[in-house]
Amino acid sequence: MHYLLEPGLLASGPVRTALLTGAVVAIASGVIGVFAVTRGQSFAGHSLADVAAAGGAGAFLAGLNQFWGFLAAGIAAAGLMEAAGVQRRRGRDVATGVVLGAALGAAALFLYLGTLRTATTGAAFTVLFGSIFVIGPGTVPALIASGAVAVIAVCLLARVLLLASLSPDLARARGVNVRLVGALYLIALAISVSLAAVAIGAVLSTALLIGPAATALRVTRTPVRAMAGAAAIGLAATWLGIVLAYDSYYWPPRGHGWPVSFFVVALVLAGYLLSYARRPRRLAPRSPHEGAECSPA
Amino acid sequence: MFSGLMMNTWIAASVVAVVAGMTGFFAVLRGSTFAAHAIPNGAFAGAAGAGLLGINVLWGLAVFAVGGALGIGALGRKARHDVVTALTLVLMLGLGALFVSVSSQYAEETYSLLFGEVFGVSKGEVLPIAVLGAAAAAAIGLAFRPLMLTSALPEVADAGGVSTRRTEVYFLVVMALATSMTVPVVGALLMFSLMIGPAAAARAVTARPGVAMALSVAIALATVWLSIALSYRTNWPLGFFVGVAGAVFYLAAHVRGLSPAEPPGTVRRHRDMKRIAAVALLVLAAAGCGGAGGGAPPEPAPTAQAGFAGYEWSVVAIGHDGKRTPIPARYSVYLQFAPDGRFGANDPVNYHFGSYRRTGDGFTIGDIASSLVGYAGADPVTLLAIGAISAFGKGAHATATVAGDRLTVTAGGYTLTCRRDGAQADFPPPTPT
Repeated sequence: MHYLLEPGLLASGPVRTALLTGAVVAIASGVIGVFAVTRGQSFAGHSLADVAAAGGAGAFLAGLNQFWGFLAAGIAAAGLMEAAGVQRRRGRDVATGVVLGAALGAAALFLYLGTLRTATTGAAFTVLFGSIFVIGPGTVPALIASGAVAVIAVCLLARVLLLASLSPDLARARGVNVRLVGALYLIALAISVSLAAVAIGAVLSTALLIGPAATALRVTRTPVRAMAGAAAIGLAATWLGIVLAYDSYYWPPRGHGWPVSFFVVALVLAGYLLSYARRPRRLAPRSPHEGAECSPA
Repeated sequence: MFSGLMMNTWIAASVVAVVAGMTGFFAVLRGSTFAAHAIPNGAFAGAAGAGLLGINVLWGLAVFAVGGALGIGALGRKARHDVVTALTLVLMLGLGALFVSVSSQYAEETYSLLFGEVFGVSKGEVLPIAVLGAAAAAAIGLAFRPLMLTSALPEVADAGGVSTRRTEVYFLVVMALATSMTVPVVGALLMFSLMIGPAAAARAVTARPGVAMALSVAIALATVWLSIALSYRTNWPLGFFVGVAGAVFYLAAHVRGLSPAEPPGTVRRHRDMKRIAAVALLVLAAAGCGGAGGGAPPEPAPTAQAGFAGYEWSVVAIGHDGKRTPIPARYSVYLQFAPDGRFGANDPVNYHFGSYRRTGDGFTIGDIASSLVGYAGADPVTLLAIGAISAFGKGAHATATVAGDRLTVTAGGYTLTCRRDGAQADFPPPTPT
């Protein structure tokens, strides 16, 4: 046990902050990710993360805390994608892609201008790949608060959201405003993506969003259990990733830790592949989740 | 703007644009947008890994891009396509983060792999890019009919003996090949913009496949040329212009309000022609703007040939014995070329000063003296920088190529990559450090 848990690990301030933030991020991503997978919005989730990277780079340029940049850009992009009509399956991926391309261009520009002004060159790496050990304790309350808002919103909406995801027509017939529900969900998704972007970086936040949720949905088919399972898997991967990254200081090359983001991604992926070892129970020839994916446009 | 090293840039970027336009057309048609995003991004990890092992970046890119494509193709059969694509993407990106971090590579390398470094294309890189480009274009051209058939009518294709799944894997692998040559030029993140933006705009304009593909290639070329010209003028990153131009063309095509879902008919054909003409005009205008913008000589005239004189240049990387080592700013390695012919160079320990004379392809050092401080340390970067700067000995000849704000100097087996650091009008008094 001593080999895994380095003495003094839990006494270190940055590590404690990292464990706390990691937990918030993993739980929010897990709960919200279940719906991202069910609704077939993996690409939307990933695009939100990349657009958020542009916000993070802009915040870096303006000298603000990156989290606010991630959050502002993420929510703005969610609004834009909603306006461009992400519900229509036809052409929605292309519209998302074009917005994404423009945002990435802006990220390139902000990072370039930022480097010119401050002569710091590590910004690209931090914005894109994150660094959970450098989160200031001052940001933590904001992270927890926004994570809680997103999770509570999605839990309150869960029933309606599930109905709207699986059968939009039925939901409409029951008087549900499908479009509004979709928009609210996208905003919650943007918040959770911003959180994950702070922790493991904008481009890797997809791992926490999609990985645990996809794994949980392979193992269980009830939404509530899937949400709990995804949160648990995400939490385990994040905490174990932090501990391993802390230990990796003593691995080759000596005196240079491996990035937390790598461990988290690797663990999440290992979990997903493990779920293949176990045959999923298939009660019906088509699962409801796949039914949602194949619903006519 | 069209001489020396810049010519390589124009050729490489044009090849990239043609291939991106062709592959992008099918990526949009088949709805493989996410894969088109994931494969170039994942390939970034391969480049980082190749840097770690010290092998050619193209190999790393090709291995990771093709591996990613096969992974998406193989796992996509068993599970949800978008989930598998997302997970393959993050796996490769995670490895990339690890490679970059472990190799303690300069952050600037990460930046240029992600966002492109089109002005650093050397003559040796043009040939592999052209060969890979021709191969990818031929692969798309040969399989045009099965690709069209499986994209538009998968059931009919299966009935006709064309395997949808095999075609999909074939297409992903071609996209991976195209990607591995483009990532070093336009960068991983922007390869995607170049594939999707022009193709989506073209498809919004016409529903006829041949015309749409030609138009997609034309828009991609216009995007790239315009972006290079603007990037050359402003020194802003190329990726910014590529991303924005893609979005502008897409919006412009959509403003004309269209639905490519209808089958092409004689009535539509007429409207198609008008739309194509409108977009072609826009493309021409944009290309014209870029040409005019870049062609007019800017006031301080940083001409491509002898533009190194009169500036101070920070050395950001040194290539020696086939290995490129980034030089962090704290080492303060720089070259100075005063307009009056005086030369200065700083390594982490000593300052060297003397004179230089411009030659056809670079410069020759006249007299040179140094502050002659000894160094007993063993820091590899310091030693490398001392070696490189001492290559500028008395009478030494160096070749110099300027591209944008980059200068590449080769002397005595060392290749110094420098960034323009400001004008060098008056020479500072030589202060020994």
